[in-house]
Amino acid sequence: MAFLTVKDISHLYLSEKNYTKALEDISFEVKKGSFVSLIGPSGCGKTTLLSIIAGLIEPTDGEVLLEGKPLKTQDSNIGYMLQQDYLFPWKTIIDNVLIGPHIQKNLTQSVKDKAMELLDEIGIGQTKDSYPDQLSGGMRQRVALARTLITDPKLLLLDEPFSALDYQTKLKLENLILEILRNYEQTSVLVTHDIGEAIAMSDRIILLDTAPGKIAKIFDVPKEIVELSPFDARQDPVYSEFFQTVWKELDSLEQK
Amino acid sequence: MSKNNDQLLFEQYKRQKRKEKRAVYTWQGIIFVLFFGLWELFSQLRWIDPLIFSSPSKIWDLFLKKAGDGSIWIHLQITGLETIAGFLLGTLIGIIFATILWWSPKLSKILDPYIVVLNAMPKVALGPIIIVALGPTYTSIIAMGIMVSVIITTINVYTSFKEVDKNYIKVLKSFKANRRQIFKEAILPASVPTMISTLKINVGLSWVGIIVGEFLTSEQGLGYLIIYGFQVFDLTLVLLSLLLIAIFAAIMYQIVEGIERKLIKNR
Ligand SMILES: Nc1ncnc2c1ncn2[C@@H]1O[C@H](COP(=O)(O)OP(=O)(O)O)[C@@H](O)[C@H]1O
Ligand SMILES: [Mg+2]
Repeated sequence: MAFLTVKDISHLYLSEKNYTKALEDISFEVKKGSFVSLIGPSGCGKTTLLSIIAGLIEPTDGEVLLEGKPLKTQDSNIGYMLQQDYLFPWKTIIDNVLIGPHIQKNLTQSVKDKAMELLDEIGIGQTKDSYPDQLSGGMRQRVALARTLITDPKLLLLDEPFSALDYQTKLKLENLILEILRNYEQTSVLVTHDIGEAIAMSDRIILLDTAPGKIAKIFDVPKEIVELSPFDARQDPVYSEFFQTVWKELDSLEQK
Repeated sequence: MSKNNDQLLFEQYKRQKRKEKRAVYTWQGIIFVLFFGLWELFSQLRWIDPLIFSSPSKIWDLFLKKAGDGSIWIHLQITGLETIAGFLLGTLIGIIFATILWWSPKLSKILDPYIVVLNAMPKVALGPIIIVALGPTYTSIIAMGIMVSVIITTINVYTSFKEVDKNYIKVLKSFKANRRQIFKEAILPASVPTMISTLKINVGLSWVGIIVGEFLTSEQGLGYLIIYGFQVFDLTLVLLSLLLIAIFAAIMYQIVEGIERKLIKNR
């Protein structure tokens, strides 16, 4: 049984003047512990799809099942990481990390200890009493990751989490995050418009077509690079070959 | 060697800045002295009518006299307390209204035209009605102070509530936050700067409300002194009251700015 099932999702944004069909008949499955990337042209509905999977938007049609059960029927714990960190500037780093447990009224000593461990693990333990504006973009995005992971989400959704960072920081973070996610055997869905990132990070890539967003093609990332760290994967000869394949496909969508 | 040079440049920069600052203070001082000096001089030379414009020395003498017999302090205290009450309550009630509007988008849509009308209306014009309704007491005067500031506070704070980045709400919702938690964790703290700038505006507004309130009723307070001075044609008294209002309004403004610095430091 698939861990996450997205079934016949369609979504319409309605307003008084007009309507936008953002998604049409999206169906796919994600296995437990696997890492799936969604790529596609800007405006093809990636954020919308992720918000639907997170249960933040009710789709016009279709349903999302987590471990075979509809989202609504369970108190599912889904982590969501946004393009920008959206750390609360008036809270210290540690309080930002603990916002989830705070909201869920679950702020025990063991959770606090775990937050510290997480911060140490991602290499920013010493900043715990700083405020977000004292940190660099890369550090802030790490804090956002810690904030998302602290509640032990069953499923992790990442909406272009690296796109606001410079290239070097992004490569480092990809490595770090993937390592942590593999350690926790985390099931994850990543949205990106960066083909290289999708190949380096994931086991499977879902290519979305635009207006309305629908699945154009699903790629399985070659075994040789799935096992590698994102940085090493980018060095592998198979990587550039596969990159070409995906790029051609994406390009043909954008040409239309 | 180069380190010494850096140090030197830094010293030079600091000296330059200090000099600029001193120049600003000097000019501020010159304007102050010039204003009161010329006022005094023109009045002595009768280039301006001393009966109407009085003179700084006469105002000062009157102040010393009234400070000596203690009568000015009563007026000052009453107006000061009324203003602080009007200002704090106006801001607080405005924030509460804004919260209610944020809580119920439907209510805010329904009330929208009424809020626009209320905001456009000159609130002090409601003074006579308030005084008849609440009686010629401090309550009425404080109510005037509240009235002039409450609507604009509501509008400003509500606007800032609505403008909080939706993605903060998304983050909180991903942790299953309810509406109250979203308000407490994101909406309210994100709007603190707006609330403080509203506070600053309200310092000025509540003085307007209180003074007009005192014009209309009351037997004490600086507004009363102005009206009384006007009726007995003692314009020295009017000007003394005006200067006192200016000084205390400035002090209140400084206090609010101090609070602002304290609160904004941590963000
Ligand atoms: N809240 C909204 N209201 C109306 N239309 C929206 C809204 N959010 C997104 N859209 C529209 O839906 C489409 C998909 O948007 P989005 O999911 O943000 O795409 P992506 O993340 O792939 O760039 C776009 O055409 C966008 O204009
Ligand atoms: Mg997007």
